[in-house]
Amino acid sequence: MLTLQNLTKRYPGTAAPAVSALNLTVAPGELFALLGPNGAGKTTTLNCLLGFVAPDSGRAVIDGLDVATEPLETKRRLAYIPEQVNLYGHFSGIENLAYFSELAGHRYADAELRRFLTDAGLQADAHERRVSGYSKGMRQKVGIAIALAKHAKVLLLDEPTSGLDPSASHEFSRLLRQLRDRDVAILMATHDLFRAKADADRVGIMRHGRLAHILTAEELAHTDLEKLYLETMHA
Amino acid sequence: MNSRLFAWELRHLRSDLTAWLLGGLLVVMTLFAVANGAHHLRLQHEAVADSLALADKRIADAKALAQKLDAEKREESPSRDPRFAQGFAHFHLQSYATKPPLGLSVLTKGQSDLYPNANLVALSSRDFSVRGEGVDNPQRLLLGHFDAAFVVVYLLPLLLIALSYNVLSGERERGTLPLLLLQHQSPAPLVARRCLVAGLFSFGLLALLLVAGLYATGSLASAEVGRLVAWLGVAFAYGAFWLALAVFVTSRGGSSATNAVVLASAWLLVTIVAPAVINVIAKRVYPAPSRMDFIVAQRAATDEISHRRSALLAAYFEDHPELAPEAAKRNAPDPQVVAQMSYQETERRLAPIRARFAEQLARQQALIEQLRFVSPALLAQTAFNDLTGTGLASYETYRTQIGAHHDALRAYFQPKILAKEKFAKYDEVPRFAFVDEPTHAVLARAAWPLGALLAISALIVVRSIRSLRRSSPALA
Repeated sequence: MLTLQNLTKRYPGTAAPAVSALNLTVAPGELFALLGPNGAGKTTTLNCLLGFVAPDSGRAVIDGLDVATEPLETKRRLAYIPEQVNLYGHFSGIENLAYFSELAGHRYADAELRRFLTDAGLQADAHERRVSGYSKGMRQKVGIAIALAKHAKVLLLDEPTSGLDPSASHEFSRLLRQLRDRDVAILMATHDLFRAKADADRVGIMRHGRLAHILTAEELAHTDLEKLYLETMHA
Repeated sequence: MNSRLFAWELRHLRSDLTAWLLGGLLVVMTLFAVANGAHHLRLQHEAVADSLALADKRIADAKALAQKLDAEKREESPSRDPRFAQGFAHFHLQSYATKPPLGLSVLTKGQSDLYPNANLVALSSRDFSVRGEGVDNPQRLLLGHFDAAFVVVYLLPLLLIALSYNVLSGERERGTLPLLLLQHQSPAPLVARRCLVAGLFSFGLLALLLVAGLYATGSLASAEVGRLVAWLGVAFAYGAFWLALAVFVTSRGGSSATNAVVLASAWLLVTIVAPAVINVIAKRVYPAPSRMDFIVAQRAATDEISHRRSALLAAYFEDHPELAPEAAKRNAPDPQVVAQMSYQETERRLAPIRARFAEQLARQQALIEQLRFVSPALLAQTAFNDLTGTGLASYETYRTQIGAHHDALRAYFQPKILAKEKFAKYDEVPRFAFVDEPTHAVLARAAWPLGALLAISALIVVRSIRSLRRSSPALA
């Protein structure tokens, strides 16, 4: 589970806070999609959870541990897939997975590593190929495999489907559902309204660092999300 | 440290084309430096051997001439006759003081291109003749000497900087840092592991090449293990300093370009600017009399002795009344007595200048000894010189022993010359045998720069780790 309690972050030299008194809880097995335009505070929220940005006030809590006071322990429970998953081009997919897993303290046999990659949707013939020749979608899959191998309890995603073709995007959604079924709490920052509506259990619309709306899956089914989004932006 | 993670970092390094290129360059440069050092060592050995052979030949020739003159019952002027102490000592004898170079000096030329290892010791003067073969020509000095110490002091830091300047910033710019930091990693162990791998690769390769080079040039067998280990220890500590500096610069969170510029500037400052400034300060604070001053004083002394010869001789006879009757009988002073008097008087007048010269040099050296702690490059270079017997201390010991040998020669021959004694004990003439400083004294002296380099490196690393821990969130 991840929790944000009155999270506030203001960058030096800016008039308005990037994130202002944000409260949110994402339960295990829940996928929460965070919508909002550029500068709404989505990435800052993720960075506070990752421990890359220190909040001015409030708390970011992962699996009951405060990110500010237990940075290493919270990182052990976290996985993160940015918009562009950057890996080591001179290593193969399986080598990248083995390396990042060992950094996280997990050592797997070759067969286990291959299983993670296959579960993440990477074709077997790509396991041994150098990552420098991978497409963006294939890199995303290695990123998912790293999250699977880490047995992360919380997954943070930042624009994960940006730049993916519809087929790859659909495949990615399938993987997210798999992770959700494993009781992983997922927070996904995205611009993709279609994907958010299709995949998320709840959707939040951020504006000026605050959550302007939170919609459940049931509410989403009866809401024109695009209209609500545009109305919120122009309010 | 986790050995598997260490192995992964090695794999990273192995796939880095820059590491291969720089490693190859290090191999070429080190082998060239060792070959260059071996060539210089061979020249030194030849100069020493030639000098000793020439000295032996002169004695053998003198013996043969003495036998020939005896056989032919011929008389020869005492000033040239090898059967007289005067003739042998002044005309035939060529006594060389030689300092056999250490095998380890293949690694460091040090001061050996300024001070020859073979000096002709004359009876008539304390100023030792210099054999041309022992001293490098000025052009070569301008170019600097390309030896293993040069590779360590100047090139090794550049290699280490090239391999470590972007250990963290490179990951950030490549976009892999967030993923790295999320795997239960703070930046500190990651940076430490990367730098350790870079350091072990560079130093391991260098040490291997140097030992192989010493073996190939036949110098390994004669190298003292303690000195060799200490030499490599200083090289390691010096490399550790540069890695620590790279870690420190990395910990500030700058871009790769910024890190590269800062580290390159530090290299320039530490290896080029600081030693030059220290040298200038030492010469400014304790200016030594120039060689020209010494020559002018020597000429003035000679001229004055020539003008005041009668008065000086009178004073000399007061000190040596046993020589006065002979002079009165001949109605003219014995040339040998005049020479002896001139030598003593010249030495008396030059002694303060020499002392001042030596004193100022000693002060300069003492100041440099203190200021060298400002520049790790100077620390390492002086330690390398010391350990290979090419440092100032070793040459000072050598010069002191040459002076003692000169005194021993004069003490042996002068009474015989003044007494106009016949001479046949060619094999009993005092010979010079250089006694090097004991190794433990050299090692004790080298321990200071070694300890200082390690201490500076440790301080920088501790400071850097604090910075890395404090700034880790911002690094991503």
